[in-house]
Amino acid sequence: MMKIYDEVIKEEKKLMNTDGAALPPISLKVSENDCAGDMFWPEDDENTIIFRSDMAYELGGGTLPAISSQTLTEDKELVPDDGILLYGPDLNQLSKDTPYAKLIYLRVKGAALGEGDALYHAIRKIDYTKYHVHPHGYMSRISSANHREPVRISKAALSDGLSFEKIGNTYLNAYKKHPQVEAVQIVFITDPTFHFKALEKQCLKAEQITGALDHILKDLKMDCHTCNLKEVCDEVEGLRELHFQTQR
Amino acid sequence: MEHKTTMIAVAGKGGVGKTSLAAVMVKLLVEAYPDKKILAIDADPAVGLSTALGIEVKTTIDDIRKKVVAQAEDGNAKAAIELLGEARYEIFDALVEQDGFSFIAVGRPEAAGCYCKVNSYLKEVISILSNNYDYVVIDGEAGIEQINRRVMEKVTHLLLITDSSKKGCQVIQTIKEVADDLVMYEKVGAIANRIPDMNVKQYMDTGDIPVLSYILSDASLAEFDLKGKSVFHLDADTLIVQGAKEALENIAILNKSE
Repeated sequence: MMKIYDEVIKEEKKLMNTDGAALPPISLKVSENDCAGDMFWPEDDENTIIFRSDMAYELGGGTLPAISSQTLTEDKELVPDDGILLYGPDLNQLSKDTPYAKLIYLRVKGAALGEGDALYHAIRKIDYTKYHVHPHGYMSRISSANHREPVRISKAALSDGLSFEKIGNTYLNAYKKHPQVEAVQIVFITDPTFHFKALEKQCLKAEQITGALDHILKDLKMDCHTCNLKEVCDEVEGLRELHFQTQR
Repeated sequence: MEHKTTMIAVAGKGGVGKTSLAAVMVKLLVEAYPDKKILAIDADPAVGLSTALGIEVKTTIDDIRKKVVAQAEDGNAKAAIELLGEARYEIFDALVEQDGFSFIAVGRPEAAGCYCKVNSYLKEVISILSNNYDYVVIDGEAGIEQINRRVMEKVTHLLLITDSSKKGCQVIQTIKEVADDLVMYEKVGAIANRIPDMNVKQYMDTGDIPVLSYILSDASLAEFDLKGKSVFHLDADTLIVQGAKEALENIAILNKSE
């Protein structure tokens, strides 16, 4: 059932493997022990601010790409195991605002997500994990309306050793707390030569799919020809089928 | 250990010089505590603190509120957590970060009459931002509305400004009565501002509110106001700067001068 994002995941991986990335990724270490010991990184209160004067730089600052996306699949080939990949320089190698993407790929037990309304809410609940992760020195600002998630990085946290490995493990840990999640792959992109435009298009499509799912389950419109999500359903295998199943 | 923010609110009748005093207090705090985080909030819809501090405001709290409300109403239902994320995202566009202090303005709602929605959002913004600062100075609107609506709930130091008029003195006593029930303040004090001469002190009745300083009418400040100049250019020996300093010392926010 949970195939609706598979095409998007494949397109995004294609961008990373061949078309979009100039350099191969660096595979970062995944903590096997719930982020303990060296992998532990403290979290801040949700209202903690990194002021401009305390900020080293902003990932996705100003008008630079600040992409964030979550997609789900049941396919072991698409998300085989837990992993953290980095395309481009790590945090301590950056010194100014840079284009940024954080992609979360989740392998889930499809049946455990439920059906109908429960499915949509389960996907959203997992997606809202991003609002509850606040690594120290890494202040993300999330605008679902603008599809942007820039991140301020603090100077102090950088000198304390903040890295994508620490951030990645903090996020990975948070997503693994959902019982339906079997494996998490996190991809960070800071390579300024990456094809962010093409990636942004795919991430937007993933968001439209989730939106269409909500729309379908609420049965807002029955006639595909007058529905503004027709384009998404035309492209995404399984969405229209799901709609008419729901109607039946 | 929990971080403690000193939150100062300036309140009183309209036209007594609240905004100028709030701005001078920001200047004094910035000068006295260069390593501390200081936030100035223009909570007066009449908008004036920005000019007094030499800041150009592009986005206000009311602009954010309207944007978030529009998103909530656009038909693509958003969960509360997304809307809160949206509001937090926008706050940083409204927060002006200057050397030494930050600034945010409540703005002026377009609809006439009711300010309750923006006041309730202002309370939320104060709670999101305030813990990140050591000192917060709020230039409140005239009267008791923001006290009544618990916008000032977490204020620690309540500074009530009056002129020498009987009405001004009555208004600050009314504000204190309401604040006694609705504000968790630790200290309260009055500043008698724009008084024509020191002889009027004996006729001014501020009830049980201790007067922290008396400030004579200051012609140089009127000239500053007229030219729209920032208080940061005011000399240390200006009457209003001296009076505000004395008040902050008497309420133990600034250390007493040698």
